[in-house]
Amino acid sequence: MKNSVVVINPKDNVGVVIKDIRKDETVIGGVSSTIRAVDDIPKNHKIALVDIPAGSPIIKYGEKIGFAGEMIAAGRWVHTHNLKVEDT
Amino acid sequence: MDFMGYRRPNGSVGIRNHVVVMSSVACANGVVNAIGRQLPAVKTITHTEGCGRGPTDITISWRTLTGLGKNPNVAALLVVGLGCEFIPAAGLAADVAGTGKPVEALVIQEKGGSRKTTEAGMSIAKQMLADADRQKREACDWSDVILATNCGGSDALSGVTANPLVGSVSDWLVSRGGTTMLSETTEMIGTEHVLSRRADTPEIGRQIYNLIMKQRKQAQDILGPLAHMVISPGNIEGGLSNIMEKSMGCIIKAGTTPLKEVSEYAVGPTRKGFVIMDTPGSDIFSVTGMAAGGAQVMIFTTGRGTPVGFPIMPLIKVASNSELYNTMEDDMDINAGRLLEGTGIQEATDDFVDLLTRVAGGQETKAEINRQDILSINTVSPPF
Repeated sequence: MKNSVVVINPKDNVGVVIKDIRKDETVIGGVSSTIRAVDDIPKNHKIALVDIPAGSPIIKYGEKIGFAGEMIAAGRWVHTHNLKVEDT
Repeated sequence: MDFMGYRRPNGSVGIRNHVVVMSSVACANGVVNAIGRQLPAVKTITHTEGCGRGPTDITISWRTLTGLGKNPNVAALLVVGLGCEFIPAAGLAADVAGTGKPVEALVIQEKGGSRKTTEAGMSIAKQMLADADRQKREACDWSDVILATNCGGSDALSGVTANPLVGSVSDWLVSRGGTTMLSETTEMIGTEHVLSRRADTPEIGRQIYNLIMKQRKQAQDILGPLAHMVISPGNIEGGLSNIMEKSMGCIIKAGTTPLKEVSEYAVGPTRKGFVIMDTPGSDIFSVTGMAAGGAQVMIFTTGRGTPVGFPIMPLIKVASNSELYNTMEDDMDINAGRLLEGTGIQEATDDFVDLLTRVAGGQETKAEINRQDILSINTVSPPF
């Protein structure tokens, strides 16, 4: 079965969904791991792979691309509404 | 033995054996084009520069044209000048002749006009073509190869499929002793701390940090209220949350090895491994700078699709998604969209290395087949 999320670096705590995902849909990605989507997530947007506590780094490409502006549960959509940066 | 290439008198290795006819100034472009029309086997290099610019731009143009002539893919060079320009044909020819390859210069005002220069140039170019035809490919090593990387017409998947795949190929090439070159300083904005951390020495770290910060300021100065367009509403709608995330998707093309050198536009690296050249994000200027820096081959990733190629350096075009690969098949060489359809990164990397080996050995890329030869030299000030 085709994966519906791409994880670019093993250190990442977010993945990229490659199709539109509906809330409660089971998302398949990585090595036979599954996550239940908590939000609707548009194609090519990010999904939290694990629970990310408020203030913790959001990791993509193995690098910090920002931090969680609130507690982000696994399966949530991650974007400008909850991914914050120190300097803009 | 890694691939079959052309060894030049100075020890450098070409993957093509082009006879090039180049103008030293825009005024000579007509003669260069006339020679090219009658001898389609030569590669022509024409441009808008060579005169009527300040000293900084003349310096950049001069070293760009010299670098293109010195590129190991060039077997022999004929420079055509007008006679009253800032960048004289004889000066360019003398700089390139240091490589030991055959170089000639013609000056239109000395030859008595365009027709006589075209005739003389044809006779020289024909001889150069005959000589180049007799050269044979020999066993060469990847350690002599500079792979340029560029992205253009990117989409939301460029940083998910195509660029990580290129990063994997970059790591492979560096592991074989070769060089991978990252460019497009504009598209590094936001990653200065990541790249400086990856630098081989603190000095290189400072260089890349300062270069990106300078570019950031320049983007603000020139674009003003439009500076935020470096990350556009379309990017954000496409799923990228900030400039750093966008830029990470760009710099991943260079893989994961230490940064060995940072060079100015059109200046070739002196070290092997992962290197950076300061080029604009605008594709054609960037591609030209890296070819002038000695890159023999380029990987160019795209999500929206672009047909561009370069006269003397094959561009391997990577589609970020299968839809683009299928609709613009005549322009695309590799489909990174496979990574979303069950193909693993290792298998895709192995297939890419196979293609790279065939291209190094002479197989034409789509842009070469289509003769999409486009070139522009970067400038920093207006002409006068």
